[in-house]
Amino acid sequence: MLRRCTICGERAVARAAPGRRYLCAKHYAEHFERRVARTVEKYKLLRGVERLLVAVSGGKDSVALLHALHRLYGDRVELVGLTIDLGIEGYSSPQVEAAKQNFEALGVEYRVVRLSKEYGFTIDEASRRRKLVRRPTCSVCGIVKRYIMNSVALEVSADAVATGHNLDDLSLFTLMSIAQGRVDDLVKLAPRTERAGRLVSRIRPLALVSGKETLTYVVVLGAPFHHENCPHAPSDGLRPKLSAMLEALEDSVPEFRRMMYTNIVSNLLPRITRPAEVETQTCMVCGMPASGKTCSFCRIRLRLVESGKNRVATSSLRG
Amino acid sequence: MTGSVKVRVRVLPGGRVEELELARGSRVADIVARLGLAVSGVVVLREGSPVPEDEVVEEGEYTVLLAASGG
Repeated sequence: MLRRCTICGERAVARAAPGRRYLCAKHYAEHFERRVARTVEKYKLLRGVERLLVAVSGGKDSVALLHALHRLYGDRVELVGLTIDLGIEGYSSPQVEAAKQNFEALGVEYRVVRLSKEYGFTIDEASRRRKLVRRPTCSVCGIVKRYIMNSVALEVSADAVATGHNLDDLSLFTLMSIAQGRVDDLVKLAPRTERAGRLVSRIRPLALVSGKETLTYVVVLGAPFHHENCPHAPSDGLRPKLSAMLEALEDSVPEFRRMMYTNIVSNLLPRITRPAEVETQTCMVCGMPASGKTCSFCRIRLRLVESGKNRVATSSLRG
Repeated sequence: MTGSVKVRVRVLPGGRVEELELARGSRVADIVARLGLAVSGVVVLREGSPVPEDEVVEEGEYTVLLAASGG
């Protein structure tokens, strides 16, 4: 007994939500795009945005992001794609390949930044030498991606950077920030963060759709995406445990994550006094915003690239 | 309930394969539960296409994609 689309009678691929109507591939895609459009409108994500840098890893979320933005706003907003080759063996190459295939299929202008070529190190190296780097690999990777996204956004004069963070990510990070008392990080989890000096505005159009929904969307579109776990992702610890717990909770309390996240964004975030801008200084190495004399990215890069060599005056590393 | 249905399930990423026997009339959600997973965390495919979890299980192959992967 097959389920049929409530709208057209074609074979159903999913329900719009638990207990709601059945949808076929075509109507599911439209439903998904409507949800993204509603998020964009609700949080005014594209206000003042004429040129948008879309960060695409090649995984399901960012591939969904690219397709939804292209279909919904491709005629109004100039999209520029960015994919970063992080140099993770066996993982980065197929990811970058998937991202490129999507840019090319949609005719979206794009750039590939290779961490090894442009900055002289890889995430694998940062992992092997984490004692030297003094940061967990996932933290290094986050800093690297944010830095490159921001640099490229400035280079191509984009008004904002769009990332594929979905509701699973944001509700998980929200809970972890609360549990760990990281109030300043909580503010950064809003669907939109405004431009501050040389820090370009960041938007998260998938903030209210789940990973299950982005996955269903890319499968029904037939878009290429790379579906693997990063070899550096921890398989144990608070994060995967909370993630599994939130999925189980969602099964018994449908829409819990959406409720929690939207309530926190609407009612809690406005009451948090923003700290005096943390990154008010300028990195003496690269000129980007920094919280000290050198930005986190350059600190990591200098430790990796300079170790084993004679220390060179930092000014000679400019560019 | 008369008889049972046999299914072969592949979980991705990871590639774990399970052969399951379910009571006839079981739903796709029952496959997910037997794997110890949450319906909210997976997309179940039949012949490459997602299926609603309340669809009745048919004999053959299913693929379970984990949503909390490959961001």
